[in-house]
Amino acid sequence: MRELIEIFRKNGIDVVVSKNPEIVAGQFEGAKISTALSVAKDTGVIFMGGERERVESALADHHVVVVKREVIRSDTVSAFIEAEKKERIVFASNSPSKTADIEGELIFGMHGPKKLTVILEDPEG
Amino acid sequence: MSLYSTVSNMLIREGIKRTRTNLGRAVKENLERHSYLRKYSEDVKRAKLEVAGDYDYWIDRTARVLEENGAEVHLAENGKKARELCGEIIGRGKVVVKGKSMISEEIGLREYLERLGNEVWETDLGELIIQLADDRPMHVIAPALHYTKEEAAKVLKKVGVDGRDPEELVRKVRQVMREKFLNADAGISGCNAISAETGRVFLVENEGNIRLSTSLPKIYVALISVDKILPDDVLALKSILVQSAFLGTYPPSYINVNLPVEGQEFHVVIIDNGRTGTEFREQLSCVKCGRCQLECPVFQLAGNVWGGRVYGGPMGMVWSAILGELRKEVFMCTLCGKCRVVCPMEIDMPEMIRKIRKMLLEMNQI
Repeated sequence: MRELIEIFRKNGIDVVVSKNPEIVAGQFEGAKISTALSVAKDTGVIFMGGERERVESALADHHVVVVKREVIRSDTVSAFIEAEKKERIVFASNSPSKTADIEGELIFGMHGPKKLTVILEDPEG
Repeated sequence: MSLYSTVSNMLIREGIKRTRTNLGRAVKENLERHSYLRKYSEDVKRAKLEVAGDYDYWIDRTARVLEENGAEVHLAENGKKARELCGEIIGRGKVVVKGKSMISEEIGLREYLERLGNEVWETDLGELIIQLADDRPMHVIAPALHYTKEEAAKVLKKVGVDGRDPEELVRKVRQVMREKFLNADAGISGCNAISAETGRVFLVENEGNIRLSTSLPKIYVALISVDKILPDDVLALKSILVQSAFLGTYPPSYINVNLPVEGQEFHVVIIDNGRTGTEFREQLSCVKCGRCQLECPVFQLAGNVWGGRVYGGPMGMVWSAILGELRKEVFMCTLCGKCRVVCPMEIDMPEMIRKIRKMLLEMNQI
């Protein structure tokens, strides 16, 4: 769990750990809230599903994703297989939108969400 | 741009050096942290070469599954046919948003659609700078690596973006482009990998422009060169993971997996353009990560002038030959072999460069 949190943070994600992730998600006013279909433990790749979810999350300034413990898989391939079992349209958002196209300087918030927050379920809180 | 002016252009040299340092460090770390990537590379190379061994079968299979999904499939034997098909799909007087795509550079699509009277927008920041400056991409992944902040700011003024630093430029380009995404008639993307099993089109990116370009407009065109076909979803996914790790962003910010959806015309243009009949078959396993370009000692000095019309560097020499263009600049290659060593697919580019030299000599072109 600690390792996954570190990977999420390394990917530029804000991480909140909670016993009740849905309740916490509701507190982010104005943000687009999604639920992860699956997550890869070793890369932090987060698969979500649905056509509307894809568009709405891409247009949002702030995207918040609820990650339940039971959707965590060992690697990206297993996570993908899990996600495509659940939804026809799948997609992954793994960090805020970013670019390094001008002199290699990393800047967040190019065309997609400026901020990505994961609320990770942890029964211990 | 001539070779001599490029060699003395410090902006190109410094841009390549900076990109090589930044991305090189990231690639090293990705490979150390994710040891399975080497195995994935082997799986992907084997699969791509298997597909290349029988393109007729795999193109047919891919086209069939795409049609079953509800896509409109178009086959183009060359670049001219491919851009004409796109022109027929899109028409005239439309607003078009594009993801960065090397195959679209290869077939000269943006210029063609503009000539038809369409307003075409490159939506990737680096590629937008290239479009506005009427330049060509310096590198497959970092097209505008040779632009300073000041030059980028100057170029972006053409679309009303006035900013002092990259942060402000990004914020203002976002506003300008958001309006284009929301009002575009059509979206165009390339393809990093397609699964012949399900027809899923895989695209990786960091900016979010590809997701918006491919999901918002009512008409979507995916340009798919035949070398992007993989037998199944898992191999297609492995291919984009290897590409991402070797281009220096792992995981990529976004993995798009496109399929036809209700309310959107979903066109796929499958493009051959010299690939199915080539004798340079090993190059067809290339994932276009651009490692060989940055690590090549000749590219480090000469930039994309050392290469073909579309692709620069060692990969560019061989890809040009696939497209039917034998470049006499191959004789500048030092045959140091670094391109092969850094290539995720370990493609023997030096051997193919020797072969191109031999062909040119036999044709008395030198």
